[in-house]
Amino acid sequence: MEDTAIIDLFWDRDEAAIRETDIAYGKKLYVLANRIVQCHEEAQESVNDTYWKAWETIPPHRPSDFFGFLAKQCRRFAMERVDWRSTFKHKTRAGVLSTEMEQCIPVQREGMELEAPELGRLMNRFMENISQENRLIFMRRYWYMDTTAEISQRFGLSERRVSNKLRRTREKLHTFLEREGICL
Amino acid sequence: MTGKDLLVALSHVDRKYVQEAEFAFLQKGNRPVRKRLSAIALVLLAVGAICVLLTRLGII
Repeated sequence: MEDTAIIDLFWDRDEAAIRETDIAYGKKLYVLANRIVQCHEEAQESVNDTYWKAWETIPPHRPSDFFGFLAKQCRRFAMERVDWRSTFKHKTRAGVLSTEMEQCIPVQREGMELEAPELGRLMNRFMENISQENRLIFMRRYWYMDTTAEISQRFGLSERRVSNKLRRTREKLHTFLEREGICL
Repeated sequence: MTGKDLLVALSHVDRKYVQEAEFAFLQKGNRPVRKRLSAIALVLLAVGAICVLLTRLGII
């Protein structure tokens, strides 16, 4: 079923909307959530929360990009379910990526700390200023949480090249955050 | 701020970037090495075939 037809079902308050959303995007959302939480039950719960959120917000909302809307919600719910302490202990994917991202944060004596939405807006500005290829690779790695092997397969690049591109983008993000006065 | 905060904050980036990355797949100029090699092999084969043909015809 087309996205617009599914959104129309939400607007009609027809519960088939949930079923059709699950058929269209359930698997993709589960994969995304499971990469983050690495637990079947938690991933399934994150997907269910996403459907609930969609039911709550459509209407009045009419997302222009339905999958983007669902994926964003799903990622947020999955992130809330991550047990960060065990993540670092067991070196799960979220822990590894978090450690990589840590390298982007400048260590300064004085600086400001931002809430996630403001930081997100700052990240938008950073995204505008990097090349499309670097942005795609960065998003696949840190938003979709792909492995470097998956990224290299997707874009037809060697794993080493993907790692180098990611490292350079992280360095650029470090410089960008430093300029913006963000600190560790 | 920690790396975790930065990872969480990424959930708030514009949906256009999420969509762009979702559908990015083997774009032009980003073809896998195997496909690129097959294309090169095909071109070389064609050039070889033309050379053989021209030799047979006595042109070269």
